Amino acid sequence: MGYWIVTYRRGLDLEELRACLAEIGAHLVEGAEPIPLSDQELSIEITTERGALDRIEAIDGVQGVFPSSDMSTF
Amino acid sequence: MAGLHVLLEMSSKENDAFSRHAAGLESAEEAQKQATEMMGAVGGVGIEIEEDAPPIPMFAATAEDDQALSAFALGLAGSTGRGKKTKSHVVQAEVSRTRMGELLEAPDIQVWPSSPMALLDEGAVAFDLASSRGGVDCRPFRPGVDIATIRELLGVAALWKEGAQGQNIVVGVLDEGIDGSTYPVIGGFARPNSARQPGSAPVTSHGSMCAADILVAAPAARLYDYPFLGVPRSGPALQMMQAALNQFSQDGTPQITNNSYGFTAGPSAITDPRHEVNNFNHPYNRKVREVVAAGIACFFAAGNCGRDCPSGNCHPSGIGPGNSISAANSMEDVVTVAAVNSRHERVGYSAQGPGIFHAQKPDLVSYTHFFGNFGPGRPGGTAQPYDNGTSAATPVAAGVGAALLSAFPGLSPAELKELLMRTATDVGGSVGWDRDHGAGVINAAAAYAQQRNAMIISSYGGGASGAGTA
Repeated sequence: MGYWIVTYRRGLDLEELRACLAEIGAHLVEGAEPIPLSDQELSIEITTERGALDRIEAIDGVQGVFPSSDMSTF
Repeated sequence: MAGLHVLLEMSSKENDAFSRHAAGLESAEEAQKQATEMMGAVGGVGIEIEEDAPPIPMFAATAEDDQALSAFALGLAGSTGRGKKTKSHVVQAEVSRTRMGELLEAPDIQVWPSSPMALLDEGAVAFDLASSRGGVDCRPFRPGVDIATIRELLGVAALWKEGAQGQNIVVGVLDEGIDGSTYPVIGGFARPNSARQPGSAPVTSHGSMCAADILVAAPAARLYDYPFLGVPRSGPALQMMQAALNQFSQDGTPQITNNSYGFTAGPSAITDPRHEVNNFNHPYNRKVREVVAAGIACFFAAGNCGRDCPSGNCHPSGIGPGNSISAANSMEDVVTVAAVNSRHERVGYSAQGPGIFHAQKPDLVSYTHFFGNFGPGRPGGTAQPYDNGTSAATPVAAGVGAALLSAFPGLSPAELKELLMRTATDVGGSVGWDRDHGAGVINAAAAYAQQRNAMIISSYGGGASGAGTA
């Protein structure tokens, strides 16, 4: 399982998105909240297998899936 | 008369300027006579010409007037006198505020500030700038120095004596968390149910080190703690950036964020086109740009994957020039900070430009390897020998930014960055920006002096841009 950031259009209900993700075996990260990116777009962090990304992108209202990559202190 | 000290520039066309000026230097009476003549009808009550100061002849109209400057140089070298004709004269005067408006309106006079200056070696620390050119400090590194040395190198005394110590400024620290019993944490954000709440981290944390280092230049600044690095991914970082934005929209704080973290590998753009390092439109990168656009200056560490002695956690793909400054740390909008020691030698792990998103990175260098949070007698003890990494250099620079903002609260993030770069001390053997040191070593005293001068010009109606008034 890896961490990813899903961007989706405003208007897509979060519970609806959660349900769609669950069908694919993906889940919202505990404590993650929707982050506004623009007037039309929100994002939220999820966990899923890399192989499920295409199916997540196919969810109506999902606009993109980006990695939530590990960072280090400098 | 408690007036304003200014330089009054008036057009002139004089051929024997040198001999006439020499005569003015010989005789105070002659100097006064020349200045009075030059002032003509404009002089009088409210304008006191400086004694023993004959008008200064000027030979090129502007700094860009290369043709006149060349003619002047040729004229000096030859015997024809060509090019020796003046373009203007400058008279030193003290002007009452009531007369200042009239002078500013006068079509043939330019009013320039005559600002106070200080000896550059006042309180200077003994380091040899020349011998450090091109120098690199690698393992075993030189010993650390104390905070007092770093403060002297930065020249913060020039700000502090004017009362600019970072008061009314809040710096948001996105990191591992801060010990709020040691450092002045007044708020922040954590994910709901997160084990690490603002101010609850141990004093040995990386975030506590950043907190200590912000206070080096800005001891009166206050801090917001955004402890996301307990979960060190860009998703939580994105959430922390949004938290800072939310807070800023409510009360205008934090004015600055410190970001001493980033990526240590450079995944292939072919196999990982959406990775933060490769994709400018990754939500985290977009959010950082929003934060800066809102008015929060973001200081980012360049990283520790410099070619000479990279940190042990650097992947080969992220090491060296062109690879080591990436993701949001390489955005044009942010202030990207690399690191030098107190001798102005680049520490060999300090990341090198060009940046991946914006080529001209880093923007400047700041100090690392000093006893801030860590070291003998310091709050964090000797768990580490001294504060280190570009992680330490970045909050030092952010603290300088905070001290400057407490003096000039109207500076935008872009203006603050430009000021810091313009006034940085050039090092590294090449003139101007270079990939190891950016524009040079951060210089708080120079930044303060230049901005104060800009304010003076602006207060005279001189139209200086970026004067930063609140």
